[in-house]
Amino acid sequence: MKKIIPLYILISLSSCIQKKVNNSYTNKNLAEINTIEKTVQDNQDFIDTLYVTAKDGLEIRNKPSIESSLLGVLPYGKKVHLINMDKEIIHEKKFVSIYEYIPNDNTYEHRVVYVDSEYLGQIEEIKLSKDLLCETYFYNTTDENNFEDECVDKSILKFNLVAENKVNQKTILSKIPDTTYITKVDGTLTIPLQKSNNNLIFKDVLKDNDNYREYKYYGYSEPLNKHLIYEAFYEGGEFFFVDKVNGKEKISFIGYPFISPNNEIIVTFNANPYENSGELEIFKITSKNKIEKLFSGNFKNWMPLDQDNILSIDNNNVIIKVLYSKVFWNKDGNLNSKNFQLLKLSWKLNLN
Amino acid sequence: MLECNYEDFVFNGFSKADGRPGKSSSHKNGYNGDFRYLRTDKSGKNVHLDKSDEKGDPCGWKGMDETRQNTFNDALYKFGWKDMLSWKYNKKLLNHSKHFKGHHHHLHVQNYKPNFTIKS
Repeated sequence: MKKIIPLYILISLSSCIQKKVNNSYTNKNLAEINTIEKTVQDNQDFIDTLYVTAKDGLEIRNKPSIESSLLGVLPYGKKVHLINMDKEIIHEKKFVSIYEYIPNDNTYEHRVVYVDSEYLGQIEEIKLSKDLLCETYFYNTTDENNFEDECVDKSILKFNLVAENKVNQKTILSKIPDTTYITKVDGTLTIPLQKSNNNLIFKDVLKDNDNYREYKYYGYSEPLNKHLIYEAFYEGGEFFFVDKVNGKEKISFIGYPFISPNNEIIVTFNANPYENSGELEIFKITSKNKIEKLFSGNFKNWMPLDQDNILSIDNNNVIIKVLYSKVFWNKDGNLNSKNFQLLKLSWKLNLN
Repeated sequence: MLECNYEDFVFNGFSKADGRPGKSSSHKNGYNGDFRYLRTDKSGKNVHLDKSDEKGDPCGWKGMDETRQNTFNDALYKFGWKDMLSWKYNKKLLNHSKHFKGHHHHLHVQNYKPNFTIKS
């Protein structure tokens, strides 16, 4: 047995060497690879940034050959950094060298690996498809059912992508009107209460720790008789309503609360930059202006581009600009704002 | 931090600080962290990149030590933090960072992927 193993390894090695020669892959190139691997550790020597366009993912190879060992699969839309390698090899075999994080047995490292360049493209080519819209990390419904890693049941919510020219521009946006009598002075927001001489006071705390709070008055909703305020935390923030009469009721939202024209539904969105996900909450407004949560979910594949602005809302649908979560930012770190798509969300929620 | 040999780091913890319910526990896994931006006066005081003031507490982007901050970002990237949230200032972004609201007063680092080998 002791003799068989080395013999097998030798055969395998000679086989690999033969393939490399056939692929015009010379010792000079191997030396270059070793040099680059060392260089890349210290300098991100990237010559270009591209994105995986293969819908089913792109195989990563140990060497620039389809017969080389498979190290993993990069998902659709994944950003990859190309490393400066021998252009002749790239053109001849279509493989390009990229720098990727490769978990392998007990070793986890960034290293030079190879992918088929045919399945790499520009960021503009990466788009959401309808089947990706419903996938969640989790979602919750009113009956306290919690679902993880599942698509949202179509009997609750439906997701579609719509063309910009199909959006009904006459639909009135549900923005809560601002008022002129609520002002913020020296970091203090003072809101007078109805039928009371007392005021609600929100004072900024601009310490860069967990106690950080910064308030902004957004407006007054007459149908709900509530004020809308934004509370910024050290990271993130939330909107909340306070009752104009007693100021005690505080209902929080992950994003700007958009109210349906019939005043029965509130929809909010949030782009979560820490998980690269899109958050959605839906509430119902009862006859007594109470607000109850119907749905909350964290979506894997899309993020709202501008959660404070939707394109339209009616009594059963909302349309908002979204981006595929893996291309929420351009390669330069700015928001990929020109590449958005329109998500139409339709609900069939139990309002009783 | 040893790589840069700076003494004025202000580190605000490796956790998610907004306290909002329903968030993933991955924000509190000890691998995501927040740092104040570095200042040219090395005082460790605040920098708010949505302002331009050279002095004050907070000062604006003119008071940030861009060279040292980018060196620090490079070091964080090198040692495994491959994703950073920051703020676009003066039409620029710090090295390896992405612009996102709420990050004018701190650098958020995440997506920790260090090179390592498990020895049995």
